[in-house]
Amino acid sequence: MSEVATVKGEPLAVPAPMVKSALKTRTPLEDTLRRLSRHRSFRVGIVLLALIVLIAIFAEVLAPYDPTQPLRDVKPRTAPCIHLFGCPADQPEHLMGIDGNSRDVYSRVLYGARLSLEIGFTTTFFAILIGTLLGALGGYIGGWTDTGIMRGMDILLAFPSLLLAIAIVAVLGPGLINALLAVAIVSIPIYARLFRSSVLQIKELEYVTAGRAIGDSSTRLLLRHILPNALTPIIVAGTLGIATTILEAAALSFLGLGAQPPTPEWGSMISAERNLIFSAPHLIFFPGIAIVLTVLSFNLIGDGLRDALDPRLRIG
Amino acid sequence: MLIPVLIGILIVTFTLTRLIPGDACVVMLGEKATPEKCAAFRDRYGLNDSLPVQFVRYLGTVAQGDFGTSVRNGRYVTDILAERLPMTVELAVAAMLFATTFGVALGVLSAIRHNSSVDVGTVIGANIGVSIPVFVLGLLLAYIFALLLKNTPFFIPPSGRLSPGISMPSLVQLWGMENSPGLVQFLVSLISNSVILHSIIIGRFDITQDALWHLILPAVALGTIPLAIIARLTRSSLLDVLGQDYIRTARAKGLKERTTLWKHAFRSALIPIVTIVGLQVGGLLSGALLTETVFALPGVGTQIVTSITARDYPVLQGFVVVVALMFALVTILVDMSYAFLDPRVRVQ
Repeated sequence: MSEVATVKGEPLAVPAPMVKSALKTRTPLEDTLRRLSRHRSFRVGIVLLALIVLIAIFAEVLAPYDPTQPLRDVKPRTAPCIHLFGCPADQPEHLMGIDGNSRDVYSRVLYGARLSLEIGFTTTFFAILIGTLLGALGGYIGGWTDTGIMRGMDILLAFPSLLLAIAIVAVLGPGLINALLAVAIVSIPIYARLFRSSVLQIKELEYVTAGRAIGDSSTRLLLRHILPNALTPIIVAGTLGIATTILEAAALSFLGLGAQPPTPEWGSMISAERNLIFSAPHLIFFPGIAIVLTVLSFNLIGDGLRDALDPRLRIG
Repeated sequence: MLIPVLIGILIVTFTLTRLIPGDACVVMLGEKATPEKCAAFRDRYGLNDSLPVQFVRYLGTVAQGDFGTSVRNGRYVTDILAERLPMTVELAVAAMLFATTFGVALGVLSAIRHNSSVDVGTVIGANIGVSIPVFVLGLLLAYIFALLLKNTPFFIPPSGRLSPGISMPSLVQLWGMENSPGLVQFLVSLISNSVILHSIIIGRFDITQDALWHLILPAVALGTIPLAIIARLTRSSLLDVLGQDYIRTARAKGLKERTTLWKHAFRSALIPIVTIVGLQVGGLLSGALLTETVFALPGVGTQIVTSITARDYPVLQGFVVVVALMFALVTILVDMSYAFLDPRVRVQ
């Protein structure tokens, strides 16, 4: 069945003027966007992410209090006070309650969105940059360079990721930047492997040989011909990778190895109050929901991109 | 295959511990570090030799099963391992059983009832399941089952391995094995420290029950992400297989739906499922670190975190090597299981 579908999917060999009049041709980009806009989980994910991005951008405007400064005249760990739900009007409103250091949890959660997005994007970008570079070198040059790089990647993959990240933080010392570096290093092998396999496939294609025949340099071949065509799987893996990165960075902060107080980072907010889950569950619940929604948005978008961009999956 | 990876793991852990900033002597001896003491310390640990020489010596000791002693309390790292490892293995096995059973069941159910409410529910649940951090889920489960359901039959204890007041004599003592060779003692204390195995051996099934009861919440917390991933993959790979021609042939020749599903479709769908189950083990070991922290369980994960804060590098080094080794072994076992499942691989 699938073979028939592929044949049907091929553009028909009809003279150009006829095509123009009969059906409007779409560029591959339009095609992808159309498929994405019809993908239900992608739509949910993109709306969710847009919301989180807006919160991150306008955190200053939206947050009623300073996320790091303790408030005066409040009792630590008070439950949320929402006027709409019967909280006396003479009390100041705290949508998500007060944390152990008398700070407004709502403001901290809002600022946390900014931090989490920064963590997700910078770390993944760094990992992709190094990963694709290593993958390109290995795949393009081949030989001992390739073997050396790929065995190195295998060894990094031989460790459970969080364990390796913890070991790296142990060496570098706890702190947000070191934690991010650790998370990035741990995810490099995924991109290196992925990009290498794409490069290996593409470098044998005829248009690359043609490029070489007309005298293109290796750098030009890699950057102009191979890179743009090997990017699709990286985009998909990168989107899903942002989700993993945010989870791992939060986990490191939860273990006390990442962001340090009073930074409004969701993982460290949960870590600070985790022993009080029975008396002040809202201090765990709200940052927890924030992590889930952010990670979920990237996972949904990643799924959508994979379905829309990966032709092998589209047929099935 | 295993040997190069193992050597790689050792090189990375060795290098990482040597990269620790500051003088090893000062780090380990703390305020007691005087120049004389440091000279003696360096001599004792052979830190004056070149790095390759140190590495070869390190390989030699590890090959003999010697990971050194803790700089904090002088205990053998292997002893601490024997104490901590069984807890983590129990937790990981329980989580994996939970994840595989429910993951495959949900995946199959949503594939055969494609687009039904069960299917939509599974897909939504699986998406949320892969997005929820282990520690958030663990804390929420503890809150629900230990506080909200406190006075109901559904109460489940939120922390610890056994109820307070329960203890069992060590098997090494019970069997009078204090003078046996090191390896035998190590193996016996591994069994002895697995509360479940130990209680079954001495016939105290009430303790087995108590241990399993304490294991429920950690296993569910740890198993949820793998469950979601397994359910998703089972669903998609079974859907893929169910659309194949040979399934139509099987149905056309009048086979029962049950035979078609389990004998024809499920068997082929099993290969990607086994792969993903195997791949989850790495994530499981990462997650165990967090789960143990949340539920205050004395396992490998909590020990690693403690060793980092206490800067107990021999312990850290030993534990990292052992965990990575376990991970590598599981990966190889998964590779070998393909031959069992897929005759084409066996021929090759």
